[in-house]
Amino acid sequence: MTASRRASLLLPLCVCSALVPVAGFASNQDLMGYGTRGPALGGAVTARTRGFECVYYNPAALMAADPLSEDASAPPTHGGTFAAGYQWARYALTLRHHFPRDAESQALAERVTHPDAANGLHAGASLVLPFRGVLQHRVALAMGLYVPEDVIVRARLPRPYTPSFTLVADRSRVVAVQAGGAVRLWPWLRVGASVRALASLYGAIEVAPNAVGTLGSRVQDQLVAEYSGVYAMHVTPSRGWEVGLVWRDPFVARFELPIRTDLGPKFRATLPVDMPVLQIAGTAQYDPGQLALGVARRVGALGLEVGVLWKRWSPFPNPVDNTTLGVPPQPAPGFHDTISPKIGAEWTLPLGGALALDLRAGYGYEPTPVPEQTGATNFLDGSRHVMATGVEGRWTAGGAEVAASLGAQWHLMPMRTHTKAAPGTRAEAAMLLGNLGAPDIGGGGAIFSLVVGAEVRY
Amino acid sequence: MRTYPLIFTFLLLLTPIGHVSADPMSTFGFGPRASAMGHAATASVDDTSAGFHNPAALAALPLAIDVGYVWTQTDLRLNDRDQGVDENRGVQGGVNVPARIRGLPIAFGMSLFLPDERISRIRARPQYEPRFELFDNRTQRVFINSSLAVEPLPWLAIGASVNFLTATRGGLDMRGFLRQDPRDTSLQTAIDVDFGTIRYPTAGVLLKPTDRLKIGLVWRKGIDVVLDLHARVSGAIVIDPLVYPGSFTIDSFNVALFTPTQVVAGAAWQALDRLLVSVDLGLHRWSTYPASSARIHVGMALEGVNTSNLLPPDTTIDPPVFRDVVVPRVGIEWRSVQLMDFTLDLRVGYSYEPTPVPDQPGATNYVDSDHHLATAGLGVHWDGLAAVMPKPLRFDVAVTRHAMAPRVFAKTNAADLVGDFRATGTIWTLQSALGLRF
Repeated sequence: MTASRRASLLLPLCVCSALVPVAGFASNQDLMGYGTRGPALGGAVTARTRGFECVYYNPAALMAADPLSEDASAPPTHGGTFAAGYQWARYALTLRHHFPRDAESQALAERVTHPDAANGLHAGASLVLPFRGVLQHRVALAMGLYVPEDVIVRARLPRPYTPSFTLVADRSRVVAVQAGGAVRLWPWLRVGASVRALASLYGAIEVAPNAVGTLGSRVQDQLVAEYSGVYAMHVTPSRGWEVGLVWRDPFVARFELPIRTDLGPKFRATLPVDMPVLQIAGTAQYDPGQLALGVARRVGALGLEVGVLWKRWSPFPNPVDNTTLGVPPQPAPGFHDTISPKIGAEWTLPLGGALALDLRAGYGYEPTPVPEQTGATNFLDGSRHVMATGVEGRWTAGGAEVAASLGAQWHLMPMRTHTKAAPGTRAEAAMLLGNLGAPDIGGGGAIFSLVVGAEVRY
Repeated sequence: MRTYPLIFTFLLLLTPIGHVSADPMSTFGFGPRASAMGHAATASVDDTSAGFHNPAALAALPLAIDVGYVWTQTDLRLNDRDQGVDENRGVQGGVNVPARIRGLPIAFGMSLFLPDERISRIRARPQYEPRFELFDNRTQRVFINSSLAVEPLPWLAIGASVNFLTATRGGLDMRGFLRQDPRDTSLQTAIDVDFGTIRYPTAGVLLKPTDRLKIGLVWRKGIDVVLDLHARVSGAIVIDPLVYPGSFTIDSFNVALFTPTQVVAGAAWQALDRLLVSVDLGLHRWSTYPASSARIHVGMALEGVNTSNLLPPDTTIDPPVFRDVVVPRVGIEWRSVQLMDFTLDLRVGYSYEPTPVPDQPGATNYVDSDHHLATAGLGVHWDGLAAVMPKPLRFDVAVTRHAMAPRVFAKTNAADLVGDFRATGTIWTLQSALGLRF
């Protein structure tokens, strides 16, 4: 490969770098995966992943050979890759409740909600740096991004205790920017790391009469960068075998925007009310810390991978803080950690000449971290069965490879009913008074996503 | 390669994100080489900072990666008292990727300045409060751009870049009860905020009429950022035993992070084999500067209470009426001085930046004065890593000094809230960058 060809691979790196993260709700990667290959294999790609998808699934694998190679300990088959694609996702989430509060919902004990479609663009690139001598075929870089279609971030947070599909409904409407690198230490061992970037929002609005008697203000809005690391190793213990181990830091962004209002002496004289500080604060984005382990085996045309993913959901905070002091403290969400098994298979089918087809399928089980909602909170979530499939067509010519791929996922979340416990105290009774989830509430549904992509490999 | 058009199509599609403006760059400079030469880099830039100075120059660069750091120290004073204007520190760098489409040289570049403390800040002060308007908040933001350049003829290069900003619009919906004691007030909030994208371009041309002369022309579109927030409180005010159902709204709108549209012409003349002279002349359209103070409106409706005269009137925000300015810059580089295993480039520069801020005889107190910018720097090339690096390592450093001419702001009203004041100031900037070339 010529230097200029390799150099051209940095183009998309630059493209991806033209992004700055801001506050959002949660990440698309955690919910539906990243790229086209990973989602098509049900996320079972911790050990065997390549190209820009590595920045999320396993950065160390940037310096591994192509997934179709039986000898993954060899240097990367391609000096670089560039990929882009588009994802459609549709939700059909069913909310079942028995506390109608208005005329419209009185006739509906069960209704299907359709949160906004989560459409977005993904792109990325990887490049083996063209060093010479001892550094040749040693270092690789990659970048990747996911961009929601209409906004960089949409933060829609309902009032506390409002029934909502907190973990799935708005999670994918946040930009994701990641960059990483890998070093091939020995033929059998690679290490890598990447960084995911986002931002917390801190600010304040102060309104008060000023020195000239009119209503004055001070407004401040500040975005502070938040970074989350991904640390990985990739081992090829023997021919055909690959092992990946990845730790992802929690990916959290806060927002705080207190509003202080002094409406002046005339108001206070008429209505002796002190305006409290309105604490607009909460957590805009939360992906839990994760540990992923995958083992992959390639036998002829068949590649198999099994893996487990541990997610540390237990520190999950309430999305919105109380606005004023007079509101009783919200109970902790009480989420628990989860372990998710995954399996994926890839079958290569030569079509003759320079054409080949990869058929993919995968399955993952995502246990819900949400406990039964017996109290005031109404986080609606259930364990999901993630069924995935996909196909990739490849054409090789002149040392380069062009691929077009398709992936689909169907998340099935069976209806789960939460029954409120009998209040033991007056405070608990007060919390349940008017609670939309009392006496019981249920939630379930399905998510369907389709992703198409193209990739150039040199 | 047929794939390149695809790549560049994606480039245009996939560069929509950010929270960016060119402004920290035009204030403190971008890239130590350009900064050391008085920011006169439109025709002479030769590193990844070309994404800002002149995207067309990227077409002639090799595969390059630059990483560096910027540090500033501000000493801006009113009546000899330091105003504590924030300093600006952060990482800067860039990447340039050359390629060829059917023999046509093209390049894609990306450049970045990432402040240490924040990605961006929007801060709106009352208009009567004196502040160094051009430095108080405008430099507190990240800069990112993506550039594309092509060299259709050996003497002509054309380039363009896209820069990004994020506008914030949204609402807060609070419901509950306001009580006499704020500790008893019970409100809960729903949030619906969108962070949308603003994109604005830069375009450049670079002509090479002779081997020793380059002429550049750059247009940078101006930009500002909107912060548009609405808060609504609905419920009731409870003053035992009375209950006043009603609602209360706060609408806050302000425009910040303004960067003027700029048109810059520059020339770089290789006067001697080792001597490069670079000059720029820029028009900065400050006349469109919007007031940075927030426009606040508070509304209230309470059953049984006449609220029409309860609240103070809204503040009228006066327009700033800044003026356009012409900025001359000059830089000199003495190249290829050998010192042991190193090759050195020595640089100096100067720039004069007239202030766009008019006298402030009335209610507004925007503070600024003419700037004299003196710069110096050094470039070091070292090929001690030839075993692994195809081209020498490069290290550049620059130091710049902004000196603000003393200026007295006199008020026409003897009873003015603020009164007359005198402004002076100095800003020091230190920049460095390590460059890899392949």
